[in-house]
Amino acid sequence: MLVLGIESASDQCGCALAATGGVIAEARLALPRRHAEALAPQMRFVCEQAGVALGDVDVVAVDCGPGLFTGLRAGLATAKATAAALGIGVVPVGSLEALADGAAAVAQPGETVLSVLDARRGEVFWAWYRLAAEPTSRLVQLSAPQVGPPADLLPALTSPGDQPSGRTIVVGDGALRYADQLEAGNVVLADPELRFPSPAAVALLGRERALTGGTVAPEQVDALYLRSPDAKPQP
Amino acid sequence: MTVTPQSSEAGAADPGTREPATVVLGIETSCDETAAAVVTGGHEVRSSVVTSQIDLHRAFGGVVPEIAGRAHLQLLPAAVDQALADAEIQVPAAVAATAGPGLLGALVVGVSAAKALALAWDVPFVAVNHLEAHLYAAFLDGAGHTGGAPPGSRANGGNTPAASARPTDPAAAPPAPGPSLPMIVLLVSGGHTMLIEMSDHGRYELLGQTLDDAAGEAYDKVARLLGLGYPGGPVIDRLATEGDPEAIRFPRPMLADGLDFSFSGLKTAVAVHLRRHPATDRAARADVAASFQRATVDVLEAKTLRAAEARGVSSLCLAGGVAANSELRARFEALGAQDYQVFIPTRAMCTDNAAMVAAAGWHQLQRQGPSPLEASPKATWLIPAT
Repeated sequence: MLVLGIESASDQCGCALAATGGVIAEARLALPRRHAEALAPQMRFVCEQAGVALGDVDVVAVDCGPGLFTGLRAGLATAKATAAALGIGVVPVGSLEALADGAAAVAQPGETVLSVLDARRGEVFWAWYRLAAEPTSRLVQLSAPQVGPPADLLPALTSPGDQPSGRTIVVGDGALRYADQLEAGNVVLADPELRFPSPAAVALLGRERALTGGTVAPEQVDALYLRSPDAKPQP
Repeated sequence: MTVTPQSSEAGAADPGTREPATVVLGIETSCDETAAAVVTGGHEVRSSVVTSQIDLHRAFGGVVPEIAGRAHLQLLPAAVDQALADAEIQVPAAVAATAGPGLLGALVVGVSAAKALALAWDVPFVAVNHLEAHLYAAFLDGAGHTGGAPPGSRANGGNTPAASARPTDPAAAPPAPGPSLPMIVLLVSGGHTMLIEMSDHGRYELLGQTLDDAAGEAYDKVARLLGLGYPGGPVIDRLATEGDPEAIRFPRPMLADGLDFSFSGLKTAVAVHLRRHPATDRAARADVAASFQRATVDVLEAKTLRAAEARGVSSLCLAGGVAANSELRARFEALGAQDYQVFIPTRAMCTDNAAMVAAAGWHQLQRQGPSPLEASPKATWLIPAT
């Protein structure tokens, strides 16, 4: 099964092709507000490099957010249109789980991963994950994605409550931006190279899910915004 | 509906056997209409789907960009499916999308979808200027024409000197019907008020434009002053039919002054009038609506005629959402009885739609070929003055 992963929830956008053995091609551009320009050429590029036709793709995996609204919609519009044109299904993937997936590579089983993406306006999107013990070593989501000021995270970081002992790996461009507000004894800031969800992670998570029947029709896919549009009704 | 050979499913299934590139899918998401359409040869509307978001924005008294962006993402796939189904085709020969000017977060949805469709179908993508698209509404079949010879006759060497100057496409059968060129276009909408000379396909000159509010914006603001709701154009147009257009002598801004427009002073004059003479009943509001509309249309008509005289052009054309206005249409139709040829799109093709985008896209494809997949959506984009 050949999966095209599309990622556009942050200041980065890109796509990746995943096949049986793993990711075979990936393109990323980490420049803000270039999503509507870059995604289609990136798709053409990864197909050319991998020597496949876009029509060979079986499933489109797409980052559904939360994330920056306009960027998110560029990726979703691209994914939905591609799937509709090819007559194939879509697998929604969360931005924060794709982000945590990158950090999982540097986590030990049983450790906690906190995904934090910059939501602008002094807020962040976040969700908690734990790397399960071996033999599965899979990421388990501990909380649903939320939005709020980074200060909201500090109580949970300093008194983990039911969080397991050991390190918490904090990852994402929001974590980097507000690193000074997220300092606690057992917190480790992930490498800045991991600050955005990767197209490869979206493709791999999507492929895993598609193999177990997680595919939906393109029209059923929508963005996870977590914030209402900024507008006030007129009296 | 007749299915032309271009739409054969055999052609759709195998890119190698596709028919000539005449069937274009158009996509429009620049403001608050989510639209898709299929147009053949730049003039034959095979399907046109327009999903209005007005109900989503009404409570806010105007278009909220973020609400528009969200709605486009939800509504566009179904609009595209419907347009293809109505036209009875599976794969068009090209995909054209409005790339600007407009709300950036809204444009991104249509442009991204159009590029992906074009890439997946392996057909050309065309990035279309929204203002240029409005001009092409007059080239769509069903557009009205008054004065002079009927538009079809110029293909046989009628009284339109521009006909011979048109680019000829050997693959196309008969030349597409449409307005005689050169023509003066009055483009009036919620965001724009412009006089443009279209001397040929792809050749435009901006002769004048508003220095402040667009005409449609003035309608919205006056409607708000009268407590009539949003959008202002249709409600004022309806109410004006009950009022006396001579009841109040509102100013005709810059009437004697060049080809530019100004409508903010007219809106202020209405506000001042309502402070002095509150319109407490429907009859009073109808008089204000009719008098405001008369002043607006007087200016629009006078400036258009001045432009025609200045350029020595006898072909006139209406475009844009305000071109759906009854009084403006009636006034331009009457000009056809004088020495002008007048071209007026159907009401449905005046307001934002994707058929005009597909038509403009087809003409652009003939002239310039496809746009790069890297093309940017642009919030501001002057009409190309080539």
